[in-house]
Amino acid sequence: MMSEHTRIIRTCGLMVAAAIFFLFMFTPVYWMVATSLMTEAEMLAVPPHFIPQAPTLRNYATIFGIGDPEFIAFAQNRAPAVFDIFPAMINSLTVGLCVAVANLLIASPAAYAFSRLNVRRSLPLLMVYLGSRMLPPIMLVVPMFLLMRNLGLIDTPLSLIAAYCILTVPFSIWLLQAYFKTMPVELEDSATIDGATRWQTMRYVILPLARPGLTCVAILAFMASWSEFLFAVVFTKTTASKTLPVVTASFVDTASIQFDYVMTAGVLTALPPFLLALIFQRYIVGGLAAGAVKG
Amino acid sequence: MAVKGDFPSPAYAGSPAGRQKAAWRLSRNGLGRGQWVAPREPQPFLFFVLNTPAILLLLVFVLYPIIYSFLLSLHQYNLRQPARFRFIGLDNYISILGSEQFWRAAQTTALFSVGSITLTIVLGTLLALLLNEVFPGRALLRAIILIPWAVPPVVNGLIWQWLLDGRYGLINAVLVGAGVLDEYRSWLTDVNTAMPALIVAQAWNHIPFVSLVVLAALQTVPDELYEAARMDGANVLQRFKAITLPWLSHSLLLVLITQTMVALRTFDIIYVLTGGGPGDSTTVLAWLTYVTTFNFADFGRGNAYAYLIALTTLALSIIYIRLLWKRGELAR
Repeated sequence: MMSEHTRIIRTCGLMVAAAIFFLFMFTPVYWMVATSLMTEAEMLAVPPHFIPQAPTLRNYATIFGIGDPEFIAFAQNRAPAVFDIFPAMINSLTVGLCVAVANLLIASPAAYAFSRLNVRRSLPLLMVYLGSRMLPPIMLVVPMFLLMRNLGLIDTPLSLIAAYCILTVPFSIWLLQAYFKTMPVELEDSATIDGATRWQTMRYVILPLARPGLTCVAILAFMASWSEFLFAVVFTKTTASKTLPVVTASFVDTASIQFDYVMTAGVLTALPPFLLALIFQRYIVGGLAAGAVKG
Repeated sequence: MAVKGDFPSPAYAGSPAGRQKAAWRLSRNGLGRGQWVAPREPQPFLFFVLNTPAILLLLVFVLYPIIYSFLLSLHQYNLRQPARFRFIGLDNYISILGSEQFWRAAQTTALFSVGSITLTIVLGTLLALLLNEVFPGRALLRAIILIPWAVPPVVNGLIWQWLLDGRYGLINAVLVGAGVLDEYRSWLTDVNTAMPALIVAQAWNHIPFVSLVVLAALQTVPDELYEAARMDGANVLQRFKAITLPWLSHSLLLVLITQTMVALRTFDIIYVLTGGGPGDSTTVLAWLTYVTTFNFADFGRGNAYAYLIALTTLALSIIYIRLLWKRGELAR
């Protein structure tokens, strides 16, 4: 078919295209990480040092309050928001985990009902769930802000947990019902024939089988909560509830250039979602494919 | 209890074949292989019980806000002047639709949406086609594209702000170093370059999603189709047009829907990258709504804006869903 010559040219062409994409996709992240390892002086070098000449973890240490007290005092002076980053990480983690658990508890029963209970005309409800996901969050945030204010929940993680459930649960239901439909009913049938009750079937057959789908849903919910900004910036005022994106974004309000800390905070904000994406790559890609391609 | 076999045989059902057969259905399992199963009893009560938490969530945090928001949009309601709270009917909408500010923002939103969606889908599909080929370094590139996908939008905005910085930015350094530019430029404060910068940053963040979805679809294309086309003497472009593109049309339509929703709600990166400026060159509707509501404390007008965005989204969703429905993708 293809001669050796054409094959080599073809491979080279593909690799050139890959290199271009690699540069475009990777350089911004590389530059963020590189800047986070620079001192203030090196960050302001013109032209920039593409490779940090004296990489240091001092920016990271400062965020966690470790290291030279004099330097920490200097950082406090230069960028007070640096010390909001650690509490914000805790807040983000709390909110993300609560939303992930809430998603599993709320979405899996609903998704199971759609895929297994043979109720006719259930499609409209599914479309309502889908439709609520299509609503622009900017529309929900204003009345929800007033609702949360009246309930006294502004500046608490609870307000964010509620908001993020709204943003994630409909998608989780959609994804899980598509996922449950790909699981063979026959296994549940055999368990029932063997005398298992509905709960036993649930516990010993469905839940273990559905673990990849459930993991995917929990991780996507966590990642969405971790990264969300609009509700967070409207609902949170102090370190009691500010999440990581809010604190990270707060650096740009100030006039002085603090991109060494901005990029350090950026790395810390992007790291958990990236690690999750890397570790659970197969589940997530499969889940996105099931959610987007099949449903 | 379900009784199953390869065919709905009267022996299984134990009743006249003709009447029973109508109720049997073809159950498709994960392997795409059909199996005939007996009808299962629908369980509407359990269905309702299992859906209750989700429905409650929707009622309290979606339906109530939607109605409340609509009622507020019919009022004059500024938090700075609470005493002036009063019902004004459609006045907010009339004044918005008559304002030049709104139409400027609508234009900006359209420009941003069309620009970012086109760039994202074209580059994302090209990347997927590339990743579908075999070449050294493919595994590395596939791992790399997960990074931009995982980067939160706020961080995405901050990264690009640093890359595009007018005094210390890497992009300026590279362009000046390569001789493309004579001196450093302030990309984000220039009316002509702020929007393109925003579009590129948005695309960078969303290309991986498009690639992953399109790649998943590409991997299901049967090789036989290409073999047959090759036998018929079709070249690369012809094969792409005749096989790949039709096969991808479903995924591309879904990607188009999700990306439209994403583009219309984009707020985070505008907040950190341009703040709607310079002037109002990147003031999209979502940003205008936020500023009106939370900076000027005008909740009545802000809610009216929110409603106009929602109606636009709804209109687009209906068009898209009808497109899908017509193609029989959603009807099960």
